[in-house]
Amino acid sequence: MADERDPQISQRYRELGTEEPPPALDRAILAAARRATSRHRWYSSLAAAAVLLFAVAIVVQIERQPPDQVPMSTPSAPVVEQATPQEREAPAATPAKPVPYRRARPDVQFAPEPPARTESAPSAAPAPTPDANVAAPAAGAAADAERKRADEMRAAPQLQRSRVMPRAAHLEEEPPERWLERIIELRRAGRHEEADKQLADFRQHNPSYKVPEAALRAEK
Amino acid sequence: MEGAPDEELMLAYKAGNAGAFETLYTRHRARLYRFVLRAVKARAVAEELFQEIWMRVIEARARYAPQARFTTWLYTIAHNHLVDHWRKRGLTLVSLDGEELPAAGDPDPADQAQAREALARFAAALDALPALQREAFLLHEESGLSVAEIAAATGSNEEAAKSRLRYAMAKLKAAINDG
Repeated sequence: MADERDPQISQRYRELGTEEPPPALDRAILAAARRATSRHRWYSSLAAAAVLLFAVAIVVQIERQPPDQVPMSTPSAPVVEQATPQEREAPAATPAKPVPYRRARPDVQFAPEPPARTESAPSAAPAPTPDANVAAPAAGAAADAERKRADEMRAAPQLQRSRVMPRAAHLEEEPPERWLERIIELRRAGRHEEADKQLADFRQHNPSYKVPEAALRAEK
Repeated sequence: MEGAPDEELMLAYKAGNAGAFETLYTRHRARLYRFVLRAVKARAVAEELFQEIWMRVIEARARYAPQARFTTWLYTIAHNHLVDHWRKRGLTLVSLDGEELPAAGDPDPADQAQAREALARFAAALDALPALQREAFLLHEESGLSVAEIAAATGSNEEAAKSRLRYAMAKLKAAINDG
């Protein structure tokens, strides 16, 4: 029964007085408590800002990564190789085959006038940016918009390089003879406008190469 | 948050609500102050310890978890500060010299009112208690802790807490009855 109080003792104890801490002490303690919480808020704000900054950095990084990561996951060479064997196996008269290749070309238009062959070998990796469009035409608009945003985030030199490299990669993989064959196929399919663009592009990169009549037909 | 339990207030303060601490402080300040004051018997020391205890509460808020009553936690901190204080004083736990409580007062020969004498005897008996017995009594009487809570706050077992409390009450009862 130790928890029970003795009323006599309790009464006498109460008679000893009801001292309280001096007001100055109260104020000092309460002020310290408030300071501690304001510090807490400051630290919280700092932590929140740090987290936000970190999140933004991650988002920026993610936006930058896709164009660089695409080559890893869907390298350009396989995509081109997928198309190329199909075209090789297909009869020359098959009209639809060059289309994927054509879709890749618009990106090449951005390239200034680089000496493509000198860049070709080491720059094969970034090539897939246009080829990714070829592989997934259905996602074209959204993917293009996303890729453009990502590209805009990049520095200008990177932008230039990424747009030049596809052509370099293409040239590395596409011998002039094969390129001309494609142009001829376009002619046979009646797609002369595309063939003309291809031919102009071809001439830019192979100025001294003799173009066969079959590829030139529409020009005449 | 005026009517909120202590534990809820402390959690609110932990979350940054300074008003919750103010409520908590208002609720416990007087009892804790008297507990410390009667434990050390010197007002200046009591005020210093009282402030240190509350500062400790403020500092420890981030680690606070309501595993027991807030009161038990608060008086555990108070007990630890008292132990440190007694150790610094070379464990002179039953010192009767120095500043004495004005409320307990020295018996004034000119004022021989019986009630005052009885109160003085009681105060003297309380002062004369061994520190641990006095602490157990104050935790029980002033702070309203149960034997189990006293044991928890002082880091002892219930049997020891009960024994200290029983001895303290017996001596105080004897002081009252002596009159």
